[in-house]
Amino acid sequence: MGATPVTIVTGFLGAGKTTLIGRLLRDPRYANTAVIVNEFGEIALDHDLIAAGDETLLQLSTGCLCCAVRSDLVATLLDLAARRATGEIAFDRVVIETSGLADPAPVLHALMTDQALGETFAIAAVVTLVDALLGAETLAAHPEAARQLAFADRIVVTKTDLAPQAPALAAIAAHNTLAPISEGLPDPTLLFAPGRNDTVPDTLARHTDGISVCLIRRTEPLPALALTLLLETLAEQCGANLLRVKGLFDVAEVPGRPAVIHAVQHVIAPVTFLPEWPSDDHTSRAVVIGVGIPPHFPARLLDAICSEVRDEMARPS
Amino acid sequence: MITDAELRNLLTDCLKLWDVPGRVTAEAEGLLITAGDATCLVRPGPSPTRWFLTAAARTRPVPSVPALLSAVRRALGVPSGIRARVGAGASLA
Repeated sequence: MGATPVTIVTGFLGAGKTTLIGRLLRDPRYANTAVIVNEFGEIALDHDLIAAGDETLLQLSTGCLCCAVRSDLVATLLDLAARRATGEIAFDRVVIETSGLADPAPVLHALMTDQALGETFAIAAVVTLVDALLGAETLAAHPEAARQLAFADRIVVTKTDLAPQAPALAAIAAHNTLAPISEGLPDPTLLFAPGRNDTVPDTLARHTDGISVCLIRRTEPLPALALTLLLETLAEQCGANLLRVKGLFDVAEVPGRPAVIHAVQHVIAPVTFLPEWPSDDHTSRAVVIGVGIPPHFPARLLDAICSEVRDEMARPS
Repeated sequence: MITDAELRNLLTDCLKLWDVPGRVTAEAEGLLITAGDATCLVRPGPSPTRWFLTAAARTRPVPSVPALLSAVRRALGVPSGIRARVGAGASLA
């Protein structure tokens, strides 16, 4: 059995997460989905509202997922896997609903850094909900909502029956120009499918509302050492301002097999190599998403590092 | 070897990134970084040293651009950055 996909559903207070999870649990297309609901408070209201009465619906109500119950989350996932192994429960995917104030980064860190999860679970996507009614105002007023949106691999606009989408879409475009947007309950194949690694736009760099989206695109293969130094230096110099790095790189030492790069703030996922390029575009490309990162910094840094590494490689030993 | 102009752009980006008001100017002896009361001078060195950084009347060799950025950061009194960590848990699709 391959790694079980885990999707993190986030969104600000009132964005419609609980409604979405409730619909998801009643939708036959989402059968065999384990759901972990994080509630911030002593009364497990969301759990009652979802009312699925299912063994694979679990609640974490001891605190906010991003700051207090990270170890609980890992323990819950391991417990789910153990119970599945004994035949007590069955599931083939997991949804984690964060509390409305949660920062997705610590949740991702908890999943990425616990070795016990490595063989069993894979993070499929961060799905962020934005409601059509209040989403634009929420994004303007609450930095937590903006961070949730910046981390999104996919965006779902909710409450479109109550208000037109246009203001929310405009607000979304100011924070995340890369994630595909859908309305209502997406098809499971979208929610749990691995993100596409080749969706890097051609525009040089974009500055949006406080969130920077910086692009790197290079036609020459890169020395592996340059890629390592780039990621280390981005993490060190950008610090907490770095939110996400994702990309495909043509590594000189591994021709024809692009390296897949993912980082969430300073935590870098082990590099994997695809068997082949996913399209005819064989250029190295990446997006660096952060807060206040100068738009050309990642590309300038890579050029400087590559230049030095190539000099060293050309130097007679 | 990167050019002075390229290094100047990179260092200017770093000042913005670190939220340090300052500037980088090209002087005869190298690139001068000025931020408040702090100044430091960067000039190329012979391989394998690559760079010399002079700050607070002390000159030290620096072997690479990543090391240079860390050294300039320290010289300007910017708190240390975050060390990268490789995650060994759930993979990211």
